[in-house]
Amino acid sequence: MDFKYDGHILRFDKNLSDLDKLVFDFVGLLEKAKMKYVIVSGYVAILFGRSRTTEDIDIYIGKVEFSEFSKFYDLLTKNDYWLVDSDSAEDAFDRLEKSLSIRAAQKDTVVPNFEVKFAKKETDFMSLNTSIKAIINKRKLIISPLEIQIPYKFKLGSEKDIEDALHIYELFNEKLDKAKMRSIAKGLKVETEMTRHGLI
Amino acid sequence: MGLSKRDIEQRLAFVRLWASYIKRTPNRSWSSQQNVLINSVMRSASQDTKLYLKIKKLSMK
Repeated sequence: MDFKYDGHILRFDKNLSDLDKLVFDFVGLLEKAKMKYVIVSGYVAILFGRSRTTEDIDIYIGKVEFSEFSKFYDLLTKNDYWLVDSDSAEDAFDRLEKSLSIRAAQKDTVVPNFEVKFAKKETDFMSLNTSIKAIINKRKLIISPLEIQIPYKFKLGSEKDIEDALHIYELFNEKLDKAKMRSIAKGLKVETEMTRHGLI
Repeated sequence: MGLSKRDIEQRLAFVRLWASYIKRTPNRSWSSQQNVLINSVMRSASQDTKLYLKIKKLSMK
């Protein structure tokens, strides 16, 4: 895998899947609406070649007022997206305020969809505020730092999640800030499990 | 009834093998292979909204 990574920006080129193209399209709308965002969870591993797909792409956004959110909602509807579990901008914003997620999908589809939530937990804010720029084929995505992503996946704990974590670890082992990863693993109480798998 | 320890180890061994393959293979090559999987699943996915939301609700119980 040919890539350049300095801890903040990760650059590589690849053949984009239909899922990648959809993600670039969606984050383009987030950027247009000036919403601070970070992609977390399964798609991050898939972006780097993990041999599976996903029915949703998890995104945390920074807290915004309704006026800003409704601009994003309008952009979604104008660009042929709909909200799977909300009927209006007000309904969707209400869900976000209650720490629920909203799911946006392209018109006439339900999967894959983008599960969007306000950042709430410490790890959410860490991902949002110390994110990595992934530049793929000269296009930008904002993703969770790998040192957070890996322990967080162990915290989620399913077989699929641990496999995702291992995939990212195996690819980027030499480039990871191991001390940072260990510290986050400790905070998430997954240090023992990660040690058992040889990651720490 | 989950996977056996042996099954899990075999799955993890494959994850490592695939990652190792990606590391030594040009990006265009491994990504083309991955895209066959992703694109075919996307094309064949059910788009039944009611069913999707029902399954999501049930899985959260």
